[in-house]
Amino acid sequence: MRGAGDGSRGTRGRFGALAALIGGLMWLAPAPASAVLVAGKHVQVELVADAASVTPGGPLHLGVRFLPEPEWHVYWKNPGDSGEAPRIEWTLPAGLTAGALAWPTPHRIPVGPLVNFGYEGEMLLAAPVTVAHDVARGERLPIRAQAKWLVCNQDECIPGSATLTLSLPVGDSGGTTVVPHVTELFASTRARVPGAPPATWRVSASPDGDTVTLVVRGGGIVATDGANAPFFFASERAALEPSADQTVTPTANGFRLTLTPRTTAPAQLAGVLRVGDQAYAVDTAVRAAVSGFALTPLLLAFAGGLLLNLMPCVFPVLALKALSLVGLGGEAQRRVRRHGLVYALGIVVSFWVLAAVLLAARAGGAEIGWGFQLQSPTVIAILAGLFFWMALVLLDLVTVGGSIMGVGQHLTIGDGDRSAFFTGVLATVVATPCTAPFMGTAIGFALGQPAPVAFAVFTSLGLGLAFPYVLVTFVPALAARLPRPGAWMETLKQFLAFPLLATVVWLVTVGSIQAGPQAVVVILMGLVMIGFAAWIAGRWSGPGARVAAGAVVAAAVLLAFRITPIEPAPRGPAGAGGIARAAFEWESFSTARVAELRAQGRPVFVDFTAAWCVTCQVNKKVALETAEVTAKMQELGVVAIRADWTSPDPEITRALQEFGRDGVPLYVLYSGKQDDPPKILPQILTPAIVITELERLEPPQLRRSST
Amino acid sequence: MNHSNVWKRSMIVTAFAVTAALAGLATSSVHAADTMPKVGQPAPDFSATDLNGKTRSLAEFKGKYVVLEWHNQSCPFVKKHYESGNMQKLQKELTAKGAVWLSIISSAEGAQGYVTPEQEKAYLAEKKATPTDVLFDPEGKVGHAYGAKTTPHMFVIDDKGVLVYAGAIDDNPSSDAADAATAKNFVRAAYDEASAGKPVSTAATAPYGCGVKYKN
Repeated sequence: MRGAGDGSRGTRGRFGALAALIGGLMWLAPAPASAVLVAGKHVQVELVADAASVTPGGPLHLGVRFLPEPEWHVYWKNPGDSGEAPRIEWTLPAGLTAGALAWPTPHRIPVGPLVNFGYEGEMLLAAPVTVAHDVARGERLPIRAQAKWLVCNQDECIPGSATLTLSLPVGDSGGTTVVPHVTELFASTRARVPGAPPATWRVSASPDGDTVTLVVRGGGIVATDGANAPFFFASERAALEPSADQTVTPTANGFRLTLTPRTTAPAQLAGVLRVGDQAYAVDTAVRAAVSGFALTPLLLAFAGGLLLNLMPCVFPVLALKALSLVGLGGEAQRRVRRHGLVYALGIVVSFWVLAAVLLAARAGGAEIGWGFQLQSPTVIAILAGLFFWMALVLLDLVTVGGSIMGVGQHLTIGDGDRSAFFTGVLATVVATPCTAPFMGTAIGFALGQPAPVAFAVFTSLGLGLAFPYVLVTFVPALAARLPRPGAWMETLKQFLAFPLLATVVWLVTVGSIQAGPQAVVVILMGLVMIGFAAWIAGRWSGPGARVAAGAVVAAAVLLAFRITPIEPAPRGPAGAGGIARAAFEWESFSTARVAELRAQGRPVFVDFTAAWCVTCQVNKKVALETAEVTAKMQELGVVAIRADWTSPDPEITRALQEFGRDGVPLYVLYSGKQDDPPKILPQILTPAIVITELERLEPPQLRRSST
Repeated sequence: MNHSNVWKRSMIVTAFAVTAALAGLATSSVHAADTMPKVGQPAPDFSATDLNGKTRSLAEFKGKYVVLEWHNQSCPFVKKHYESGNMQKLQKELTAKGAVWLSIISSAEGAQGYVTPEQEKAYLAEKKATPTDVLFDPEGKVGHAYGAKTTPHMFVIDDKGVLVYAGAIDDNPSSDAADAATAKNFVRAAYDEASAGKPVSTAATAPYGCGVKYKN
């Protein structure tokens, strides 16, 4: 070991004789309990404890405090381009064991073209110490730390070292207390040591050419530009180029950070991610984009789109589509194929439009997610009118007429390109209330990506939705298996009007929840007007009748825009926690309420749902509100919370984003233990799935009493 | 009154100078990162004056292995390797095998590590150091061409003029002289492997040391 005396060879020759204070020998004698300051060249060093005495079995923190002179700095564990991290070796008496050093988040210190990571100003390098139960009371424990450091300014670096000592009494501090400044320093340092990122953040990394991309997504992430822009400090010196710019690209639910490796991309990226004035410890594998990054969401999106065909909301349109295919059965193969492709195009373009609107709105800061369009009662009313109109057509109550009146039919019922395209559009429009399995993950991922990737995911989703029909049009063997056209077709077509009318009833219900009884009147009035228009068009012919019918439909649409959503009732805690309820009730969601219940150690089940989400309603009826699930929740003391997203609600949107989701349904179970990550249940529930998850919770008697 | 105007003006001039210096720093940082040569590619040629005021260039050593050592007498990390005798030992060993060892000083005039040829000659004699030659690069041209970041920062160029190693001298990034003896020396390993016709197993590492004191 060298003393600090052989530091700079004195190119500036302006250092005093302070070095005399340094070096081990002086400090071997027992020191008082209070901290002893060692003045090194350009830095003061001190061994400090957060307690004036050692308690057997109790907590203790020891630390070395560095106080560099202005414009001088000491280093982080990765010093950056140049410099050296301080080192501390403890010599502790029997019964005391030091843990790992806790490094506060460093600063970026540019030195010429280089960049260093370190600390300008006071810094405490502390370690937790475990104290054995059998440490003898009344003794004084000698504590020794061998510290080595390098202190630098813009021009030069001076190595230093010192043996720092402290002696602490066991049991009674004998009246001495810790200097207030040291107590504050331990507290403020604790806040400067990076902790784990919020449980709902997802941090991943992938190699990207010569760079590595760090992707951060989750709820409430604000990536600013300029001096406070996100920055990643790699723990390993060899991992990243310290002086390289880190480009920040905001995404819909987070940001991406472009990092430059020193030589080759590291396999693991560990370090500290600074976001705004917060810093988090990050440790993630660097995985190639193809395996876990881009391909999987595309496949998930495709599978989700495929399954959408089977979801209750899409089925009427799918049935219509099947009918039109039968109608085309006898036509030339080429024409059938073209029809299928145009239908797929209609679907994909609709998904693009939805994605563009969603991304644009989110870029503008709106707290919206997938299914956002159904949160508007106006859209609900127009959809109700559309379904009603389709039912009238299927029942042959509207005849295919002139150009204006025939728009609806031509768009969806005919056999031209336009009809194929708009059948695709319609399929997408009616598909949006449904979140098929896999879709939630894929869309959540897509919205965290730059626009091209997001569009690729939405395209994949659309192709999945279009796939079964396109497959039938392209494989003649499949088409040949469809029954021949005949009178049965007319019967089936008319029958399908009734599921559509049932859908209208459901839409009216959704509208009434969103906008109250006034909306019901408006929607039903609109339906009457559509019926009236159909009657005019059927009763008379000629341009006058067409114009009149068109005007009535237009008036009905205008009426839909007059529906104003009612303000959602303020959601407080629905019931005071801890009061036993006679009947099992679902509480209304609030982030604060969930946090409060979790802090109390109570298990919480959150049902993210919406009246317009058919999958949600089905899950509610077949699983969540069954007697067996309710009984299990009561037995285990689970607090059931319902987050109703029927109308726009930024708080619920944020909560969904925290789980990487942008739509409902989402089912989350918190175990009641603080450290357990929340468990996310599948999007299609059965009573068995819910009960199996609930049974994994600890029985209530083992938990802290909660009632 | 007049006095305070002068004061104000000088403040403004200072502010401009600081801004310009910062802008310069920002530019040079981009510059340094962009021009860093890659291992496996031809080493950039350079020319600089040596201990005797003669201009030397990389081209004249073609056919020989060349070791470049970025040097700064006052840097604690350089001292670590010269006071332990580690650097001198490596110089002696590799030059005996026919390699050319060039110590390069890129410290700007007035900055730490800047020395005259006479001062450097005295230093070499005192330390019993035997590089083939020492090159003076106060403008930082050679340093920037190689993206030299620290002292020491080591480069090994093979007999065909290809860069085969760039990075730290060894695997222990400390300023403690005691560590030099126990560390794995990357430069020796790279020279041994390359001269035996083998690929260099550790060809690029993160350099450590003091920052090179470039001219701003």
